[in-house]
Formats: sequence, C-alpha cells, structure tokens
Amino acid sequence: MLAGEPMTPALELRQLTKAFELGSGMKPLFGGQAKKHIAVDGVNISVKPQTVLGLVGESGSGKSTCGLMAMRLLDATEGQILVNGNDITNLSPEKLKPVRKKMQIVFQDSYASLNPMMTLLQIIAEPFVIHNLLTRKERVETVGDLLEKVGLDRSYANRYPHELSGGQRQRVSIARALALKPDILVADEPTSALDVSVKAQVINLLHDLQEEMGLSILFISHELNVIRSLADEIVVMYRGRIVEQAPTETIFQDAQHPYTKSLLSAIPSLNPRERFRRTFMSTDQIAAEIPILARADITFVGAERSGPQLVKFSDDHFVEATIRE
Amino acid sequence: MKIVDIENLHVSFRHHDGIVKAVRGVSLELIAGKNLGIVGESGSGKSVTFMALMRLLHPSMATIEADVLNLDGNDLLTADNRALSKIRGSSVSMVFQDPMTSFDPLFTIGQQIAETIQTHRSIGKKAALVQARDLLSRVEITNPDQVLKYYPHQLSGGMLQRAMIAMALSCEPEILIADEPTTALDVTVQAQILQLITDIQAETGMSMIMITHDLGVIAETVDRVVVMYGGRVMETGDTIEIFETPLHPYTKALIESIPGRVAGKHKLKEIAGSSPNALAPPSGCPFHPRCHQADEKCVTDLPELQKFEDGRATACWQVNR
Repeated sequence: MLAGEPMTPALELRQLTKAFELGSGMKPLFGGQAKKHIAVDGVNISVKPQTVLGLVGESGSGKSTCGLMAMRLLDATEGQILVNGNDITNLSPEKLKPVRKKMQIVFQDSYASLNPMMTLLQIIAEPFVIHNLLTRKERVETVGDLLEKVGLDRSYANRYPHELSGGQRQRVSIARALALKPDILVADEPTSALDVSVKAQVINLLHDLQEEMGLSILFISHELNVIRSLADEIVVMYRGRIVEQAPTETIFQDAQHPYTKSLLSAIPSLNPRERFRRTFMSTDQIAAEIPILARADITFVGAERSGPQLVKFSDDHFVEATIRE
Repeated sequence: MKIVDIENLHVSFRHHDGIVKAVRGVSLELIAGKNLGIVGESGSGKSVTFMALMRLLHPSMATIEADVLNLDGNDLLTADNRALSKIRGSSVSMVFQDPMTSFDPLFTIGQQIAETIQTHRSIGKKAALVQARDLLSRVEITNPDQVLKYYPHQLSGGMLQRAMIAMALSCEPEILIADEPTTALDVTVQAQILQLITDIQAETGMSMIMITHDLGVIAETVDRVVVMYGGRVMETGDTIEIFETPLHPYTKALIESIPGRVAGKHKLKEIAGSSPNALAPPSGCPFHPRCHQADEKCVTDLPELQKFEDGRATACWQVNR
C-alpha cells in the first residue's frame, strides 16, 4: 500500500439503518401502517485494521443492534456492511459462511451463549466442525492451545459451562470466537456481567490478544472507563444516531456534544475528596445544547438530512451539529 | 449511638452439595445519622449480611447465628414476626437493585405507596395518596399526579427507582438500606439517583447503608466503608483513607484494578484467580490464594479484624501498624 493511501477498513458500516415494526399485528394485512421504531438511523462506522473502536451509548441507543447487523445476525433495513472492502450486506448463507470465519462475536452473557449440554471441548471445537476443519486429534490439541491462550488449563476441556465461574465462562466464549483465527471481533459488553476483580483480567486478555493476533475489534460497552483502557477510537451513539466520534483521548479531553459531556460527567470521580454536584441534562436540554455551526465552515459526513447532522469538527473529530444557513 | 450493631454474624445455607457458608463472622456497626458503604464482589456476603439483619431469610433455608444483631435498639435475634413487621418499614426500609420486580405490576404506583403508608399509620386512603404525591415530588419526579396513576411498566428504570425510593421513605425510616440501587440503570441515570439518595440522607439526617460492588459508588456517596470478601470483613475505615492508604492487599488490588483511571490504551492491574467457593472456602485468609503477600500463616490461620486507634481495622496478617 502506498503511503498516504487510505487503508481499507476491516469493518465498515455505511448508512446503516434498522427499523423495527412495533405492534404490527393484523394492521398491515388490512392496509394499515404498522408503527416503526428506528433503532439505528443512518450510522457510518469504520473499524481500521488492527485497531479497537469503542462504541458507547446508553441502553436503547442502538449500539448492540449495530453489532448484530455487522455480524449479519440481524438484517439491516437500509445501508451496507463491508468486511475488508467486500460488501456482505446481501450475501446468501452459503456465501456468508467463509466470511463468518473471519469475523466472530462475544456476548455479554456467557451463561446464555454457551450450550450447557456441551463440554468446553465440544463448544470450542464447534467452529471447526461447522467449517469442516482439522482432524479429531488436531481439534483436541488446538482446543487445548486455545484454552491456554485465554488463561485456562488444558484439563478444562472436559468440563461443562456450569462448572466454571463467570470470568472463566467469558474466557471460553473468547476462546471459541478466536478458534478460527478471525480478523474481526465484535465484543458486545463482554465485561459488564463480571465481578470487578475479574473484569480487569478479561480486559487485559482482550488487550493482549488484540496485539498478538492483530485483531480489529468493535468493542460495544456502556462503560466509558472500560473503553478508555482498550480503544483507539470512540463512537458515541445516542437514540440510534452517532453524535460524536474521535480518538479516545480527544473524547475524554475535548468532547463537543452535550450527550458525550453528560456521559463523561457521570463517570464516578473515584476521589472521595472531590465529590462534585453534577448538572444533569434532560433530553430537551441535550437537544438545546447541540453545537451550531455555519454551513460555510463544515464538511458533511454521510448523506445530508434534516435536523442535526454529523459533521467534521477537526481532522479526526466528528460531531453532530445543527447547521446554520 | 449504634443504630446497627452486628457482632460475629454467621449465615449458612443448606445446599444439595453441602453447606454454603455465606457469612463467616462479620462484625460491623453504624452510628445513628451516619452513612456506611459495604463494598464487595458477588459472593462476598454483603447482601446476605443485611438480608440476615432484616430477618428476610427463611429459617428453613438459612441458619443465622450471631453474638449481637441489633437494629435501632431492637434485638433481631429474638424478635417475633409482629415485632419484625413493625421494625421493617417504620425503622428501616430497603431499596433493591431491580425496581421492576420490587413493585407489583397489577397495581398503580399510587396504590402501592399509599398501601405502605396505611400499613404503618392509621390514616385514610385519600390522605395517604396526598402523602404519596408529596413523596414523588420529593424524589424529583416532575409530574407526580400522573405518576400516581401509572402502572410500573409505564415508567423507565430510573423513574421506577425514584418511585421505589419514595416508597422506602414513606414511613420516615431511621435507616435506609440501599442494595445496589443503581446497578441496573444507565450511567447518567445512576449518577442522578446516587445524588438523590445522598441529598435525602443529608436533609433528613437518617442513617444510610449503601451496598455495592462498585468502588465508584462508594467514593461518591459514603463517608465510611466496610470491604467484604469471601464472607468476611477485610477492612473498614473512612472512605478517604481507604482510597488513599488502603491497608488490606485485597482493597489495594481492587482500587488498582479499576479501568480507565489514566489516559491512553493501557493494561490494567488485575487480581489473578477467582473468588472463593463458599461451599469449600479456602483455609486461613479467604484472599490468600490470590494474594501476592501471603505466607504460611495466611494459608493456615484465619486473621481476625484488628482494630487500630484511628478507627480503622483490617483482617490481615501482613499489616503491622
């Protein structure tokens, strides 16, 4: 690749939109209109190769829906999903299968995402079975290696998920996700259900694996603190839209959007000498404090639309702003 | 005056694999009008301690033993059901993690708060509803008249937790026990609820116990802390001292493992290993398998809480002050 040439993102979401139909029932049958909830509204995200992008937002912001659509576990209403530059939005299940080898997901609830009837060997070897890789003997060997890689003993292969603690189960989920040596990992709140002392272990594990394997990670979390220790770049979602995007420390030092600011101010101070009274913003106040920029001064990101719009604030800093004509 | 006084509390549950020793000799106290934080991970015994104090654990499941179990001058080891129901609600109220399961989905918020008031006081339904309305505006709900008529599912998690706090305050308790009151809430809502609870505590002068796994919540809300691990108290002291000069290796490790305290992508200090199994707790100090300062004595002998003159206390063989 030539110097200065833009790198192809490992994972790219273009104008991705998801509308859920609400309480549709019989209405559409009789020509009525079902109500729609737009969970994700024209989102553009690109995860650069071998970097971690932290996607933060509160419940209902659409962050997990983005992760599911990126994995093609949920169909997008509009928009495109590109993996290493290839459009996978409409690939058939057969054509998607080889792509899935390259991208894997880890969920928040390791109890629900590991089959209780299967041993760890069966769970972690399942990707090999699905993709018809390796001999039986090689699978046992590789599963042992994977267990060690995530910090568990090889002898755990014959155990069942219920015999493990929450942190150990999450390690198994990670081992399974890494079995096929993916390029891309989507991690949806992987540490939120874990105890404080174990949370740091799992964050460090992801940190090491990312460096070792050159993974590109879409890290979804509601905890800005966790994201800070892991991510190169942060995207803030609010009510289905991206409201700010910048390198991690820019978000922490120079946030522009009122919602990002309120997320930052909600982080506990961890210094009991410095308790401060916070001012909380209602939805209306957030809307009222969106930055206003003159049309002449801005570069648009994505398609122009009515209402506030994501614009370029500086080289690598994007913020939702109201445009003054 | 000690409003809560627990000495040498043991709680164990019968389990088909054996006996789960959830709390193993916990002693703690709360002075009237003050607040106290209980911090610990899941399985540390922090919630069970207070479920036992409130006598919310059924004798068929749990065995409770203690030298002293006093709440607001009442001996809870000997209290009968009538005495207990008088204490619960009027002396002490609890706010739990999940407000959705704490309310009955079939009744309106107003009916439920009014019922609580009427249970403890002889006033009419109308008067109780007026009080319920005042309580809702006290917890900063901007449309109390409407919320009175709402069913629990019509409120967001944060609003419902406010309503829960209103209900807990309805009988002007001497003590409010909040067990992970913000864990299920969004971060911005969490900060608001914590501020509300600390404001109310400061205004009314009631005593408050905040049970949490989150050191951030501790730093924000309480003046004194009890750190629990493996069913034991590891350390107690003033919040500022605990954060600035933690004594117990567990407390130190816990503070150091908090993510995002410094700028830039970085690895965290982690505590190796996992929490102890309450069915077969480790010999000696419960933290010794994960402690890098542990020696032979830590493996064989259980350290008792040693109290120091400055009001701090810790259970560790390695601390000499």
